[in-house]
Amino acid sequence: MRLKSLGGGKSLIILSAVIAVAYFSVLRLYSSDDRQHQHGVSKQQDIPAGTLPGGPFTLVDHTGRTVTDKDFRGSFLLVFFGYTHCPDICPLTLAEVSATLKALGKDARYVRPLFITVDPERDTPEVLASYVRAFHPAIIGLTGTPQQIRSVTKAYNAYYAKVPLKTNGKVSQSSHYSVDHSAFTYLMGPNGNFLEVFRFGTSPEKMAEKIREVLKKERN
Amino acid sequence: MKKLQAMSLIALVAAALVGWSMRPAGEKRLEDINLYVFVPSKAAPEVTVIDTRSDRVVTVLKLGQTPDQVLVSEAAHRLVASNVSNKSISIVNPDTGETEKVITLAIRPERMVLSPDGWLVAARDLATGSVSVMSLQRQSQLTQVDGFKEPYGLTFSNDSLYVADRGTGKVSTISLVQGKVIGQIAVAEAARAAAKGDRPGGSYGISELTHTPNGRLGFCALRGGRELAVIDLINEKKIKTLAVGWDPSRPWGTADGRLMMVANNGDRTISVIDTGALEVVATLPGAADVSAINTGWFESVAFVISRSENKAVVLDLMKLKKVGEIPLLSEPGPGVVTPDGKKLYVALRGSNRVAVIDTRERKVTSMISGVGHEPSDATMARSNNYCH
Repeated sequence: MRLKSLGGGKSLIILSAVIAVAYFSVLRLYSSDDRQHQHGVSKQQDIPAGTLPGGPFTLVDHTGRTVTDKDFRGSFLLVFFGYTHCPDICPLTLAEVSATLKALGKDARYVRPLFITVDPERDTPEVLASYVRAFHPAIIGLTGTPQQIRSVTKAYNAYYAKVPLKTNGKVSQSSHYSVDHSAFTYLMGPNGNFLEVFRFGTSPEKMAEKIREVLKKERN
Repeated sequence: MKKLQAMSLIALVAAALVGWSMRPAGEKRLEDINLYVFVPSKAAPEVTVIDTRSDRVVTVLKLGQTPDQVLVSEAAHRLVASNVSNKSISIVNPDTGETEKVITLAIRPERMVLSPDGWLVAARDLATGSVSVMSLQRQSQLTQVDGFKEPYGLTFSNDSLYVADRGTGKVSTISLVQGKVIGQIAVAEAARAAAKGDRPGGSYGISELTHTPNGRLGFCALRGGRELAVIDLINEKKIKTLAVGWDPSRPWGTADGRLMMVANNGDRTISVIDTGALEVVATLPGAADVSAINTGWFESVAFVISRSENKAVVLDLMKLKKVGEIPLLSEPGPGVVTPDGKKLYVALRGSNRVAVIDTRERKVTSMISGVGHEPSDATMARSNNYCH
């Protein structure tokens, strides 16, 4: 009744305000994400955070040269752990890394893909050289002593385990094995800092998009 | 006054436009199904869809019936919803919410599991002792295998289905090609497995079998007891019995296969088993009534979700120690971790919300509301970031 007693302009303003408030209340009901300060979430314990992947390493590249993480400073790195006898995951990932470089076009010059073996026994620099060249000339194969490989995988929270293959329930030869391993691809920054992790199967377009995003940030 | 009127009208139109752009969509093409969390309601025929990039509800799928369980198949780009009372499984298009097919079964699908390739679904019925296997490609039942006493746990491998029968203490192997039982592994004596003694929650019998990602080893707990059986799945035999805590529920493994964890509900501990050494390497503080153990951040952390204690116990899997607890609102269900291992989503049934936990920060970073009535579960398409 009070609304009637007001002028037409005022009632329209009040009506508009009421509709707007009601509309946003409904929206909030459907799509709100209530942040930390609400619902007791702020009472969380101070739990130490997990470590970020990355750290110092000393390895041997596919030309036989000893390299450390410092040799790659100034470049963005795409780091992947695998082995040349891998039947599926490794060749697929390296093919996707190659496609990512292609998708990056000229920006690919800022990115150095590292393929670090988790099978140093069989993956010598020579073996790695012919393997990585089959995918893209920019990919650098890295190997090392078992201890060096253990150290770099630990720094990257990467998993690997040698699995003897059996024939008729018996281990046939000591060289007859596969290696279970992580299939993440890590994007590292020019200072060796962790930027992003790509799950197995991330499309080259998505990887290139993310790399372009960090390159843009770096330039700004 | 006219100016004021005009401004208020503009404001209203602007509010409407902003609102329209943020509306919960009725039909939304989910390009990459791996990016979405699906939250079924226990009290309404609906599944809420959350975009993991924004942690916002993007759509609510309206189903014909209230789902008892929902699975997500990336391969088929479909949801599978069970309805126990109607003895049916519905295949739902997540883009439209349309139920494409209702498969009527002869059994009550009390629990369902999805095959690793995402094309097969198995369901079991304890009362009839039957297991049904369905194809999402054909959208029909492939086979029904009867004759189990209590087919409690179902676990797919690449070419077979393991059925943990708590009535007999045996794990049976069903060949997916032949559609019949082709082998049995004795895990516990039948009498011990089936004995319903004075145990917490009345649990008894063998748990479901959890296998390592490479499919070589299986782990099966004796609920109500203090044992965990280790099974060589290649040669189909029990190879070891490990002593764990009291009343182990079931084993959960890390995605890389390095560790297996067993929640001992009786003494509120977690037994951590190194799958290489096949030894219990740590017994850590846990919680009661564990609904799941979720792992993330390069498998360096585990979150033990306790339904009755409304919290997640945080375990550092590198240091093998408890590092803290995250309080959660009422009735947290089993959680799901994003394919990159960065975020954990936990449905909080009692508060109609979903908690988002950053697995590196080990903190709740968001509470999502508008996730339906009594959200019972949070589920995603299965992913694999390890080569085995």
